[in-house]
Amino acid sequence: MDTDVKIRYFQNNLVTCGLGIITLGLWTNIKALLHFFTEFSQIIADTAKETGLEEEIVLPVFIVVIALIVLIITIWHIQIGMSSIRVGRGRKKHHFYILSAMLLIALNMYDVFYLFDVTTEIPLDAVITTIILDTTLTLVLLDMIISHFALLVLKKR
Amino acid sequence: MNSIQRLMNFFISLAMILGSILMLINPEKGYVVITVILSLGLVFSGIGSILYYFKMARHMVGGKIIFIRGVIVFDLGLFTYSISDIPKIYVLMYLLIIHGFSGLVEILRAIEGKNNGQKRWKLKLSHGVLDFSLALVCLFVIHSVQFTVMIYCFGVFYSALVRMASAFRKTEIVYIQ
Amino acid sequence: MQEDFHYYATYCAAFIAGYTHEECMDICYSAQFVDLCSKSFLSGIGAPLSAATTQLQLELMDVRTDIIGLQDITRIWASFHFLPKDLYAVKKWCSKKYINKYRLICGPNGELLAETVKLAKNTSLQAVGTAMHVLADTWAHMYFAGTPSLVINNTDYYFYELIPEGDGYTEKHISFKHSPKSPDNPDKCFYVGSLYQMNENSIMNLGHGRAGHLPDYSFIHYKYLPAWNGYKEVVKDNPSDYYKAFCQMVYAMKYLRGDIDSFKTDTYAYDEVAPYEGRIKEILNTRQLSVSEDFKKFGEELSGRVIEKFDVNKYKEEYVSSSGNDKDKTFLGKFIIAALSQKSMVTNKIYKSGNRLAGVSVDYKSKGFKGIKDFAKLISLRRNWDE
Repeated sequence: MDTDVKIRYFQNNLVTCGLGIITLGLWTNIKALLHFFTEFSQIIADTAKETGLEEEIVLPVFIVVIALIVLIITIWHIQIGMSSIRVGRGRKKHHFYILSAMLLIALNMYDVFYLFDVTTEIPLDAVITTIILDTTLTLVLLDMIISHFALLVLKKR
Repeated sequence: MNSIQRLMNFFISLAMILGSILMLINPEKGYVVITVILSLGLVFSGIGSILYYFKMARHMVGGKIIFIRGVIVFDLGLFTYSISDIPKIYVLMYLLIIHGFSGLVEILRAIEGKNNGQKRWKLKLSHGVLDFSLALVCLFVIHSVQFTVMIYCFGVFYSALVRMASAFRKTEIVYIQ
Repeated sequence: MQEDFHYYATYCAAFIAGYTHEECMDICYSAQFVDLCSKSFLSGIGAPLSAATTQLQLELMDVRTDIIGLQDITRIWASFHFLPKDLYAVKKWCSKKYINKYRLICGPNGELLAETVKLAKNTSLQAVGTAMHVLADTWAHMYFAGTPSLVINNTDYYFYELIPEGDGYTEKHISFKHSPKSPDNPDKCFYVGSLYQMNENSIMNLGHGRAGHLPDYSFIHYKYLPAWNGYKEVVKDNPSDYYKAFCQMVYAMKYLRGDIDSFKTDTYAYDEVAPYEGRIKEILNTRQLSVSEDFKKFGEELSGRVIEKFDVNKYKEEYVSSSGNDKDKTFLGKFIIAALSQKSMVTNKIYKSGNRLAGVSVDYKSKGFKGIKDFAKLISLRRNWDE
């Protein structure tokens, strides 16, 4: 492949991966929220029992904590995705998002390995859907990182 | 539309009508059936997108996004199946959101059709508006599950009738004598 | 291409090739009529619907994209507007389904072009006009396929206009908006294109819809990434391509008139067109959406006669008022025969290459007549010619 063609390929790959990371990230968070919402009362009751606090106190704290976690993770995915798109379109030159992506990969891998822990009581269907999504997200992130470095090497030439 | 498509449209409409009647008579079983059908549809659509990627779109510039879309839709289908055993109200909300979204898409398609001079845009628009409005009304009266189920079933019934009507619509071809 | 090239430029080319003004009018009318002969028009005059050479936007909005619908769409668009360049093209590691669509990519100087021009020999001026439309479109519509296909016809954000500046060019990014009622604005690089649809067989992915009208503007010079080209950039120099199309039309028409013994692809009548080269290139490089008036003026200067404005209803009455076999002798009747012949030939070639995207083609000699009744007319005509 011609160098220019390879550069275009990796640039386009960065844009596609960026879009993919944003979409996959958003869907993962929406799914997590829906899961939480459907088992809401059970989770609050369990937490109140474990902590010994009243449900009226646990409830708002829980909502705030969940909202914060979801917001942070969403912003994290969007940051990585948007950076990848900007680098792919030649509008920005930075590498911080790669470190961010590596951290996200580590988190995903931990999540996947946690699912294989037989002591947890997660239903099989939830395990399958989470593995599929997390694996795909990990592969897309890896693809993005490889494209980033390949692009650096090609541009130096 | 060819005969096979008309037949398929007819049977899908019939299934939708039966599904909505079942849901009214026996809401417990009805919504599970609908959720399962919906999940199967999404799973096959997701698998279709993934297969399309490997057969065709991997040669296309930027084709990878089709693979990602396939994975998301497949996952959505599995997720839809997994929530079929949880309390009714949440499933209903989930179904309402999907119904509302399809109504919105229908409205956008109708507007696009109108801009391109399509004849039947008004029917599409009315269908889309009704779908979306029903979904909104249901969300506001969600505390009353029976009432919500009734409105939702009405929406499914209406969609089925529109689909059946299009299955029997005459195709505009003039045969030379 | 648009009316400016199919009607007025074809008139000019026909005149330079040696046809009279009246013959040029018949040729250029037929060339332009290919863009308007839809099923709606044909049903209005009671003509065979299989002779349709185009599908109007209204027809396309309601068309079904099942296998039969797709074959009908491909027959029309691949036969008249996106003539395939190489029906036996090879691409590694591809599925049969992909290869079938890949082989329908349009391009100039293919084997089918030679067949198209030879098919029009010793027939009618309407056939000459039809062939010239097809020839011209192979230059304008190259790199796109006349079948709905996301994986072949899609474009993405990598789309730049190359505006001449000094010895080189400046690149200006083109973004397409899906706003059918807004006109294109070349000064602001604002162009209308079809909506992105992920469905492989969506009508939005037919032909050059994703690139808007850009391939049909004679002045524009641009680069983009075709979906099928493995990230290799393609540079489209419309002024140069249109000039080649013009010169090739003159060469083809000289062959059809009998001035040249054989038609060869990649051959151009540069010498015959040389006296007018500056004028033609000036018109082609004019930065406006249509150069009809300029080509009209040029044509009228060449012939000293007035070129009538194109009127789609001009020959309607003649066709409607005649009956039986007399219909075939009318202007539209001859055009219909030319259209049926072209469609039959291209469908047959595509089918013989192992590709069913344009439908099935039956060998009349071995299997007898089968299929769409409208094409029976060609058999009876061939019998008359043999007799």
